[in-house]
Amino acid sequence: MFPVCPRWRFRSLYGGGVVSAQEEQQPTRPDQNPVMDGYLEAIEQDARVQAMISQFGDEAFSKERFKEHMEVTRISSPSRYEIYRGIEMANRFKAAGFDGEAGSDYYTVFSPDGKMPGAAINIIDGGPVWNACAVVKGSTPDSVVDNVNIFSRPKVVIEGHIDTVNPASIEITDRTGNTIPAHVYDKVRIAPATDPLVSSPAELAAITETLNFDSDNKLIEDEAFNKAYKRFDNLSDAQANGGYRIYIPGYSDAMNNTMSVYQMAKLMREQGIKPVHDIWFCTTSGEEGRGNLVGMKQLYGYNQDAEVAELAEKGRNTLNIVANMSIDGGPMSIHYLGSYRYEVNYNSSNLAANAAMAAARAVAAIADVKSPSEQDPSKPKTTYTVGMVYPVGEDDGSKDTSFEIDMRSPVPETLEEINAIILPLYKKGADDENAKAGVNAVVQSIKWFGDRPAHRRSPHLMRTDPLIYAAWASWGMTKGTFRDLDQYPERSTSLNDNVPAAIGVPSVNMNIGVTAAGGGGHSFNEWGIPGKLEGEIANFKNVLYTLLAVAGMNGEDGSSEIVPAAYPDKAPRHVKETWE
Amino acid sequence: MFKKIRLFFALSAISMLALAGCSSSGDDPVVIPPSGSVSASYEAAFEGPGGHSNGAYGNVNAVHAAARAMALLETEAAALPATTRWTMSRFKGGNSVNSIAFDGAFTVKVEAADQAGIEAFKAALESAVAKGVKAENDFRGKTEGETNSQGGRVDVRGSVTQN
Repeated sequence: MFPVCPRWRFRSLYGGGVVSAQEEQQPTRPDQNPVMDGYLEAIEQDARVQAMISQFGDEAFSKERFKEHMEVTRISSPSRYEIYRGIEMANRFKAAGFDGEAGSDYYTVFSPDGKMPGAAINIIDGGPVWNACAVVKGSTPDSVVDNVNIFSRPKVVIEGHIDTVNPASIEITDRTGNTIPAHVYDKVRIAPATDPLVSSPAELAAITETLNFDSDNKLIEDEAFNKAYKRFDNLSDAQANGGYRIYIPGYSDAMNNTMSVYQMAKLMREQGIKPVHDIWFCTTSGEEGRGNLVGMKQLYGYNQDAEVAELAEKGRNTLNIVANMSIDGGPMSIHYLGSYRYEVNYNSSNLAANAAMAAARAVAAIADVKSPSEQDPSKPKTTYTVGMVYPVGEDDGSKDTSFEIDMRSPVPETLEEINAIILPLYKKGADDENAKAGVNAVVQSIKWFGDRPAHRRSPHLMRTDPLIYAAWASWGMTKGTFRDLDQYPERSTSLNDNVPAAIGVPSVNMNIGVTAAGGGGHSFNEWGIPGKLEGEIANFKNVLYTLLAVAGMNGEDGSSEIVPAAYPDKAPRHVKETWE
Repeated sequence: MFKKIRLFFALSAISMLALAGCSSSGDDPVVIPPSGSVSASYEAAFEGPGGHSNGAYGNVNAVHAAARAMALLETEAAALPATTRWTMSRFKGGNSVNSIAFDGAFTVKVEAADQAGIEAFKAALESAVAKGVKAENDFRGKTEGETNSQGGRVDVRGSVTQN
């Protein structure tokens, strides 16, 4: 049966509400907000904030940051197998001083069983979710919150994801949270930047020079380290001056960002900055592929399986998250690509008709599809891929084969269009194989598993939303283009914040990590070369100022306070509330 | 229902006989079933650059190339005698739904009247793989051996090996 896909119906208070024709005509740049400008200036002038920034950009500290980046990234962490990177991040948060009891000033939320206290749902798509969050408790008194418990205090989430596409899976041998087994440590290979990029897994495996780690997983500063740890402006600079490519899955997607979120938590703790709302610095599971955004779905209680009639069950923000900042590398994205993700299965009851062949007939036909934007370049970029194919279970595939397909577009119309083009081809694969074999044996079925609600903010809310304004204005403050742009960046992305956007929680997707050059994302040969610090420092400021402007900040002497007047203490709690 | 069960037993019996008739020589991968016909098994493997499903859209896809080759094999093998029969299995590749697959593969088991029939099939398979690869490269505007500015190959490649 064709799956019911109700997501286009959701609109939120903060974006996507019914928009008048007049509003559609308004320029899509935020209105000037003098109150927020004042906050941002006060944040910039705060000595503790400046100390955080100078520490982050300090050369010795940045070298340590790089080492931590490599130490964590070499722990293989496929979607739905993130337990070990989760354990590692929780341990690092605790070592950085987030070691108090839950509810104290600094504590870590993580459980090796993948459950999060206070979350509305825990086991998602049948599995545990290994989010690790470091909490800086804000100054909001408990009395302002209805039915308060330590986990329902108003909070801002800032997060980066810990799952990486390659490898596809690992063996989980210890679920206690006490150990990280040796087999999950990957090799971090390095090769001169003047060498051609490796073109196959075999070529990658042939690189013998690696970064080296001691028995405690500490990166050793040896000759290989000295070759790899040099910062460059760009690839030409690296090639001209002895730079090395560092090959490790997850280098940029997304561990340089995720580790920057961790560093921000550590530095905020060191500087003793007290926000008003709590801040949860989270390293989240499940952003990629089969992860199906489970990390965010846990944080926001988002239940993909709830029926449209039960909107109250669709998403329940019991953690009371008032604003979300995802550091996935988005260009200050506030619009979110929708996607259709299906698992298409072929099952044969008679070997005369072959399930693998039926799948191949369908994929071969799909491979010749020109997407709406390929047919008409004036349409929004619309893409598709058969990302995976595999025999199911113990079968060799002749009886039981599935493939997984991803289709994306920033607006529903073109997504529906590509879906309509491809949909008949699934069944055609089975029909053609049955016709060839002269039996009616292969049955095709489809399972919708990827719920990434598309979301486009209304121009009105784009102009007035405090989070968007803070990101926009602080970008200008830190990168010298304050209000010089004609409009807010319009690109849509398909990232973690699709989930808060669907609940109605304001969200923006930003970037901290900078490479001189990098590539191979989602492929076997992901690589990066460390970039110059200036870019990372500017991005760090941009994100930090935005975070403190929306979370609020108490003055060093307690006398002054940046009030997070932007949002109520109680966020939209569930999709029904948002919808009404 | 009985018919289905009988068919199941018949097929099981055939496959057990086939297993019993397998050559045990490690050097000779050719399986000789009791019927006297000759059989062999091949793996076709495909490699491409892979990439992000949306960000790297336009890259060639190794799973798409494998599927093209599987479909093309019917045309390439159309002229082979009716005694040459083959079965597809292990169509696999890719690491996540939101990626362009950098690898793809399938296995094909073939049975023919004699070794010449096997060789003819192998030639058809190699031709299908080459044409599948070319079709995928052509569709995405890539040429054999083409590299990007980094020196990494952007085309999809295919190979056939005997199991």
